[in-house]
Formats: sequence, structure tokens, C-alpha cells
Amino acid sequence: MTDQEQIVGAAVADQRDAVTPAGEPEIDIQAIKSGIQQAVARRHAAGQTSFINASARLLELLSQDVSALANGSAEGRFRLQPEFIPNSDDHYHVRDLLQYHDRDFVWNAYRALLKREPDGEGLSAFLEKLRSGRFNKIDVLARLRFSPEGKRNQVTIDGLRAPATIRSLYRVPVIGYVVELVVGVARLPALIRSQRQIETHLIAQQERLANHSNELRESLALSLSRLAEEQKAIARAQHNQLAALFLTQNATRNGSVPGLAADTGDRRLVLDELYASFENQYRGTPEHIKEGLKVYLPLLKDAGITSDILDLGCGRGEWLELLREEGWQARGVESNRAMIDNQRGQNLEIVQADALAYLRGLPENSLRAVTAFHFVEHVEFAELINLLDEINRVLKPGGLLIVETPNPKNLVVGACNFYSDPTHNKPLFPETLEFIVSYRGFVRIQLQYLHPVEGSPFQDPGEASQALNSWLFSARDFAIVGWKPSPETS
Amino acid sequence: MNRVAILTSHVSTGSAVSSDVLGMRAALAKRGIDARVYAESSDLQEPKIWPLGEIDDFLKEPDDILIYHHSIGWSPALGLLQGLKCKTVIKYHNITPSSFFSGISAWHEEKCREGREQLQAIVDAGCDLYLSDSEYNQEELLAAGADEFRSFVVPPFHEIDRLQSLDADLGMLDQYRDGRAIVLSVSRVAPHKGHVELIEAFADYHHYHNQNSRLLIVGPEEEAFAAHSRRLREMVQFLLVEDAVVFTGEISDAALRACYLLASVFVSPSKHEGFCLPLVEAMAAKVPIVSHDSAAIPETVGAAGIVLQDRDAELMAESINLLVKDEAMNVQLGIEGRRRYEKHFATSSIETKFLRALGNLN
Repeated sequence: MTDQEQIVGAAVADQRDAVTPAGEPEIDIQAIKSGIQQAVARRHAAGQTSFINASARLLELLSQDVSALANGSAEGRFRLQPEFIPNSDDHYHVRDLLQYHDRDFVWNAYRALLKREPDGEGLSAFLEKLRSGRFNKIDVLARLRFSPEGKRNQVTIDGLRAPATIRSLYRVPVIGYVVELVVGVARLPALIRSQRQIETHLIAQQERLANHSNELRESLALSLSRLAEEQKAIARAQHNQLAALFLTQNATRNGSVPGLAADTGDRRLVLDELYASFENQYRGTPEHIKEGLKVYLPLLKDAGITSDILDLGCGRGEWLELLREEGWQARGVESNRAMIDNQRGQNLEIVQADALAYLRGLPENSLRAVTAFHFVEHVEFAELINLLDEINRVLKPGGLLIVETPNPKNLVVGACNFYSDPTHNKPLFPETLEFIVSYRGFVRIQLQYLHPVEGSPFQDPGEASQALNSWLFSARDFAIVGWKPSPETS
Repeated sequence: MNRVAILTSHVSTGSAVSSDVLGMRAALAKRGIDARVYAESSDLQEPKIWPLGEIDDFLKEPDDILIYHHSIGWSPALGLLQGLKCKTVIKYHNITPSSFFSGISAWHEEKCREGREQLQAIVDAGCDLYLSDSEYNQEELLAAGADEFRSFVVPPFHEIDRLQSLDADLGMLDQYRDGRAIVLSVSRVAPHKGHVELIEAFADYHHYHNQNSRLLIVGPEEEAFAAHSRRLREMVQFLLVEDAVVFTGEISDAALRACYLLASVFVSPSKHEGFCLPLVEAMAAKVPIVSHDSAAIPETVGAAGIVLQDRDAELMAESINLLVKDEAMNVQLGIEGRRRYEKHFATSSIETKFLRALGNLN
């Protein structure tokens, strides 16, 4: 090693020392890392699993392109004859073309010699002659090459002239016969012709079979990719539902339910129980409530809706009971656990979840009716809009929405009774709600006033009496009925 | 040492390549050396970027120096390195393996493949000096046949001091200073940068450790990777962290400064880095790092953070959790990062390494 190299080498060592961490860091990173590994191991040992990995893999699967299935089958198409690629120098040997049969042969002969696709007439004339055995392939090539069009194209084709000349001699009177006889004896033309007929027939049959098989493959691939798409949609919907459930549970576990941020799970249950008892005492008996809800049954019946019905804020489930008595299939969503517990004996299908979160987990166009009785007055305005949008999304076209809520036009309700429920937010004005429902995309909206107060002392037709009657004794509730637009309704 | 020309394909405001090229020029100019930057294209006003065609008027003496900054496939470089009668230096910034772009962007795939081929051609032609951003890059040069005794590691010049001296963007501070723990990631959104793993790890952290948390994904998104960007957003939705993940896109330096001030943890799950400047930005800002053991990342991070061997979402989530919860450790790693920055990556330190390496030309 020269001095120069030694100096350079020292400089290299110096450089590397400077970059790699010099001296011991005060922090023991290895200890931190093993602490992290232990924490993850404890998590696994405690049986806590994370949905993240499975979800990410699912998304990866769902993102794969199923159209590849159909493309794959195109590549694997049956080909009985090799593909013909025209030579750029217009120079062929007869063998290049004789390797093709039947339709492919005529087609490729046109492309090679006339540099175009055959016209329908030419194609069928040549095919007919070939299949009958009157022409052989040499005849076809000679006809095309020595036609005026073929001469203009000046394509060189080796090995054609000699056999073509012999074949053309057959057509010269007298000599032709002699020649054909001589050649014929040597080559037994009749035998050859019949053999040729069989051969061409066979090839035509095979061609048809191959086509049929290719069509089958294509339709199978199409069905497969449709099936895969459907499975994907189902997997997505299931994931969304599980995800909504996870979020609800996580929110409950961590006490971060909107509006109850500081409440622990236990505290939440205490509140739920309190409200359930309050409802039991003041909302009226289940029979009374069922009676009031019967008014909506004809709406569903007339529309032929007997399944895929969801009731938001179903409470003790009176409406679900009524529907079950009709033999219809319905389920409810209720966030109050104590309320659900109250109906446990009935075995109704009720999910404990936040209505909006639950709706978000449902696939679109999956329900035929969504109902909400005395529910919307509990939610904030912005959430109401979100709810309507989600309902519109999950309803099938032509699906039904029914919303019932207290009528503030009855002053006793609006000024007084409404506030008997501490969880009520604000009364909704009938025309306002009607407008909002229409504005969020529902059609054929109806506003119905329900449950008038009985025993009004203001019965006479005078103006003052009528006004008092309407202020104090008119309908206690009103309902908005709307439909998701469908091609028939629009 | 007479004149020095620093050559690269393109110079643009704020890119890591430009910071390095301009930093080299400034270090030389400070010592009275006539140094110019030559590039095919540029959007800079100051300093002047010289057109390629004039480079042979500038480099005339055998003692003049041409430094070629190699970061992507660019064909004129080899000709100039071979054609000019002066000393030649390559500064190797590394090139992302083209396989990361396969089926995603044909342009990137081609440019990166070309860049790797040109690296080999440059080494085959021979340079007087081989400079690398990191040991990792240097290993690649040596593997290509570079002379070990003429190879030196010089970390890239940067503008971190300027970034550190900026007033943080108040809008950004106000928007995200709401008590939620901030996990920060800074890099362009590209397939090799590991955003898929980042989102998985954050979702695990958010759902199982701390719902009072937010992930800021800072960095420009390119049209060429639009499908990748869409995929990431779909993933955010699928993993139920829509309310907690923010894609900021490209942001101002003042906003970036705000992000480093807000961050509890800096995460880089990148799969390939020749150096990774944002890691050094995080160190300078005393933000502890969580990252994966790939390419040059471990040597850049040193003891300023946790470098995980396995690419595993739960491990990464647990690491984030530890650094958010254990305040003392967070501060300790932050201080270690700052110490490491000042010792190895401060501009003065890089200048010394750069000039000492050039001294080997004589």
C-alpha cells in the first residue's frame, strides 16, 4: 500500500465513523423494542384480535379485477389452424397457404394474393367448389393469382406455376382429357376427390365445434365474473355491517356515544333503564300504541311490502309485533338496551345500535320500507338530514318511508306535552318536515294528521270556536309518508 | 481546484435533489470557488441555473470538476462525464427499484430502470470520486464496481435550518391542536412509501389503543399514482378511520413546520429510501420516529426512534402507543434525535464531509 492509499484509507475510516452512531446512546432501543413485542404478545395471549389485518386483506381481494377471468378465456381460445400473418415483402411459397383449410384457406389466400378480405360472393363460390371437390387448393390460388386483380398486386408465390399449369391443361379439349387420364391413373383422382371431400367436411365440422366451445367458454367466463362481482358485493355489505357493529361497541366500551361522552357503560345503562321506565309509565300501553299504528298497515299492504322492513328507534317493538301478526318480516334498531330487554319475551328481531351507524352499515337498495315512529324529534337537525339520506340510500327504488312525530300545531302538544320527554330535542313543524323529506329526494309525499284529542268543548261552527278547537284539540301527531323514486313513479 | 459544475436533470423548488445540489454549490461558493449548477430544466429564479450547452465553455482545465447528481434515468449525463476533460464526481442519491412501479406507472418504471442501467455505465466508465448520500447507497456503488478508496459518504444538503426558523402556520396549528394525539407522516404519496402499512398500523392504534388520535399524511400526490391514491382512501374508509385520517397534499413550509410542532410521533413505513430526509426533519424537530428496517432508514434513524424489523401493523401500533403514552421516553428520544441531527446532519457537518471528500481529488 502506498502512502497515498494509506491516507485515503484513513479518510474513509474517518468518514464511516462519523456517520455510524458513535459512542453508546443513553437509550436502550433494544429494550424498548422487546417491550413492544411483549405488549403485542400479551395482547394476543389475552385473545384480543384486531380486525385490521383481515379487513385489509379482504379489501385487497375485493380490489382484484375479476374481468381478468373473461380476458384469460380469450387468450385460451381454441385455434384449429395457426394464425396467418401476411408477409411484408409479398413473397410466399404455396406451402405457406396450403397449410390452411376450408374457410381459413380461402380467407388467407385473398389476404395474401389480393391483399384484401374476400367479398361474400367470392368466398362462398370458392368454398362451394372446394367442398364439392371440383376445385383443389392449387386451383383457388391459381385463379386468384392470375386474375386481373391478382396480376395487379404482383405477389410472388413460389411452387404454384407448375401444378397450376398441369391443372389448367385438364381444361384443354382432347389433350386435356389425355393428360388428366394419364395423371388421373397415376394419382387416382376420384379417390383423392372423395378423400378431399371427407377432409373438408371434417374440418368444417371441427371448426363449428371449436366455435361452439369458444362461445361456451365466453359465456361461462361472463357468468363467473358476474358471480365474483356478486360475492364481492356481499362481502362488502357484510364487512360494512360488522364494521358498524364494531364502531357501536367500541363507542359504548369507550363511553364516547355522542352527547354522553363522559358516561361510562354502567352509567349509560342506568340512563337507559330510567328512560325505559319513563316510557312504560307515560307512553301508553303496548295495546294502545299498536292500535294507533294500525292506520299504516294498508300503506304497506297496497304496495305489497311484506318483508325487508326496518323500524328505527323501535323501542319496545309494538310496530314489529303488529307486523309479525300480519305474518310479515321486519326488524328494528334501538340504542336503548333496557328498552330492548323489556320485550325479550317476544323474540322480536331487534339490533342494539345507533340508528345512523346501523343504516351506514347496510348495503344500498336493500330495504323495502323504513319506519320511524316518535324518533326524529329525538335527533339533531343535521343528523336528521344524514338519516334521511341514508334511508334513501338503503331503500330499494319504490321503497316506503313513514315518519311519525308530535304535532306542534296543537298548542298543548307544542308548548307543553312535547317537553314531558327529557330526551326530546325540538318539535318539527309539519310542513317543514314535509319539505325536508321532499328535498332529500323522496317523492309522492303525503302529510297526514293523526290522533285528534277527543271531547273538545269547541264544537260550534263559529270562527272563534273553530280556531280554539284547532289550537287545543287538533291532531296530537302527524305523519310524513314518502317513497324513493323508481322508474315507474318517475 | 478551479471551477466546479454541478449537473443534474432537473432543479425545482423544495425537492430533495435541488436542496442537495444547491447546498453543494453554496458550500463551494462560500469558499470562493466558482461553482455553477447545470440542468436541462428548472423553475428556480435564484441562483442562476445554467443551460447544458454551455458546460464545455466553463469546464476547460483538467483540474476543473464535474459533479453529477444521479437520481433518475437521464441520458445526457454519461456523454458529459466521458466527453469533458476534467475531473468527474458522481453524487449518488439512489434510485427506487423499478419493480415498485410495475403495473402502476410505466413512465416511472422505465425511468428508474434506465437510471440503474446508467449507474452501471457510469461506474464502468470510471469516475475520479464516488459520493453517496448513505452507506446503503455506497454499498450499491461498490457492488457496481466503484473504487472503494475513492468512495465517500456525504449526507445530502437540506434546508432544515430554514424550516426550523420559520413561523409555523397558525391556521394549521389551530385546526389540529384539539387534544388529539397526532401521528405524522411526510413523503410524497407513491407506491414504495408504505402508506398501506401506515394506514393499517394507524387504524389498529386508533381503534385498539387511542381513539383520541389523528393521522396526518403530508405530501404531494401525483396523477401517475391516482389509482394508488384512490386505493388508500378506500382503505381509510374500509378500516373505519375516515374521521381520523387527513391527506393534506402538498403544503407550505410554514404548514410543514406546524405539523412537526403538532406531532407526537413521526412514522415512516417506507420500503425504499436512499437516505430519507423527512426523518432528519423529524429529528431536528425532536419528534421521535417509528419506522421499518428497509434500505438506508436504520442508519439515518440511529437511536432517534424505533426501527421495526417486521412489517406488522400491531407492532407498529404498539410502538406508536408507547411513544404517545410514555412522555418521558418521547422526550428522551426527541432529544436524542436533535443531538444526532446536530452531530451528523447539520449543514456545517455536511459541508465539512463534502469538502474533505473533494480534497481527495488532488
